[in-house]
Amino acid sequence: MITIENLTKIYNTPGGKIRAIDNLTLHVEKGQTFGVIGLSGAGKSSLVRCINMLEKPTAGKIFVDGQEITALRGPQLRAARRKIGMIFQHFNLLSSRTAFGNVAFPLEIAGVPKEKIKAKVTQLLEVVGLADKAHAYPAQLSGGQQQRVGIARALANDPKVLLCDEPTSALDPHTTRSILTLLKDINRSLGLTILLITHEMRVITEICDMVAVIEDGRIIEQGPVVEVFMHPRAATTRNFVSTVMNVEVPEAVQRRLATREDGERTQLLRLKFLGEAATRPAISSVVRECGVAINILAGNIDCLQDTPFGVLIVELIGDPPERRRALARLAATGLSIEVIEDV
Amino acid sequence: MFENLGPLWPQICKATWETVYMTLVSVLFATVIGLPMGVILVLTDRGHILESRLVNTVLGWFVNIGRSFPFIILMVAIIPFTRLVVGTFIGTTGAIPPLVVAAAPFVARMVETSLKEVDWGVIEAALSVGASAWQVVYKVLLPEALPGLVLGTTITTINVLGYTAMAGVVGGGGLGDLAVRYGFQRYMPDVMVVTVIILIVMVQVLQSLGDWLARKVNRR
Repeated sequence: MITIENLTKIYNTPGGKIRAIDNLTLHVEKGQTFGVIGLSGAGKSSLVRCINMLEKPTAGKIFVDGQEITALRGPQLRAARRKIGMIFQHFNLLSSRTAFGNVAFPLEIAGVPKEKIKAKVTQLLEVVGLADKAHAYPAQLSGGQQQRVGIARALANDPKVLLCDEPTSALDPHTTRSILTLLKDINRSLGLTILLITHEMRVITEICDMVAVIEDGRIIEQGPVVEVFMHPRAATTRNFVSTVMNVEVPEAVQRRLATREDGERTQLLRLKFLGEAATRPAISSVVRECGVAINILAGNIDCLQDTPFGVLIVELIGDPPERRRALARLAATGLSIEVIEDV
Repeated sequence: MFENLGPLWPQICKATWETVYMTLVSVLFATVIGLPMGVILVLTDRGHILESRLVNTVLGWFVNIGRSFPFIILMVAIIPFTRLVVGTFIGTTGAIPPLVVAAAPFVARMVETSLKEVDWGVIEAALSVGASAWQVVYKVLLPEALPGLVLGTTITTINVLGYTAMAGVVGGGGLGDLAVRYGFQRYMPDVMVVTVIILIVMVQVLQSLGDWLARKVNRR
């Protein structure tokens, strides 16, 4: 649905040339929710703005639904933009128009007759759950409600693609969740392709199927979210993953372990489990069968959308032969095991 | 002390009307000319949707030149132009072209400043749904900047009201002219006091009206 080929964007600033996007190639399939994550200044904002030509690429081609957007000018470009919805971090609603007026705006721009506008806007406000706020001005709405208006506006011309520029970065965690749920619902019910940029890993794990990590204007890692989440390769990716799955040995436990007397008999392990593996009672069966004791020190269990996912830090206690047997047994259950050397 | 007011009352009324007439007509035409100039100044600015260094620079110079003239000199300097436009350079009507020429660049800068206050993100949002430059102007920039434009127009009107006092130079009449000829030259302090009071009331009413209207259209 979206194909980006060798995209480069260079800004000429008084301080010299800045290469915001560097020969970037990316492909988003129809119906996917594709997340691009990066730190500020990584080029993600430029990337999403190039897709509807709010920023003019320096080099490279962008295709949306088979149409080469980068080759369009004037009226053709404006027509193409109607099929690419966009929502913004700061909502960017017209303060002089009501919620209704804001959602009607793209339809007016497209020259839709008044009667049809009324029906369409009413329906869209219902979709985003704001039917009762039609006549409220943005200043009278909360951040979450404003973003809902933004989403309704973006959907007005039945776009094929929805670009989301940090859609929840200005919202509190609770509102973030409700906005993300709404986006996922829209993605599923309308089959809309979503390209979302963010600096929050939580947003990615909550709704994205695919993720790409952007750094210095380049994609450094990409793949299905579960895959990248389980086996992050680049340091930046690992940092992002740790923001939602930060499982370290607590300090109090570290102190206790440092002063223990039977240090020879224990080993610290970090166990990661995903999907199927999470549903099997691996730890209790190992304890039963291998004659070891397992002490859970820290942990975090969560869901990557519908897939259960967890990290546990455990202390494995027993004589070396038993411990070896236990490790082999754990590995066989499909857990990912990492032995923590230094506490 | 107020012995002069009785016999001069018709003239005071006439002068008040002349001031109101000159001010309103001038502001109207100054807006018709200055508003598009202000819009063009914004759109052609660096990084804006119709960026054009040439147009922006030329128009900017033109506006600055217009704003450089002291009004009293401008009025005399453009007499040929005034005759060309309204057929005469004297009287109330003859005072209007110079007032328009003086006020239009002021309006242009005022409009420019107000429109630049509109958040760029809102303009981007409009572009992202396929709005043309013209649609951005009349559906986004002008409605979003309306409170600022109303306040700016209030300031313009009060400024023009001040300029009309100099219209006496070309026989334009008005309260300023009355105050100079009767209040000052014939030494009638009562006439002076009354004209000043009328002007104060006018400015107060204009400012209150502008503030009220700006609040009414402000949805922020």
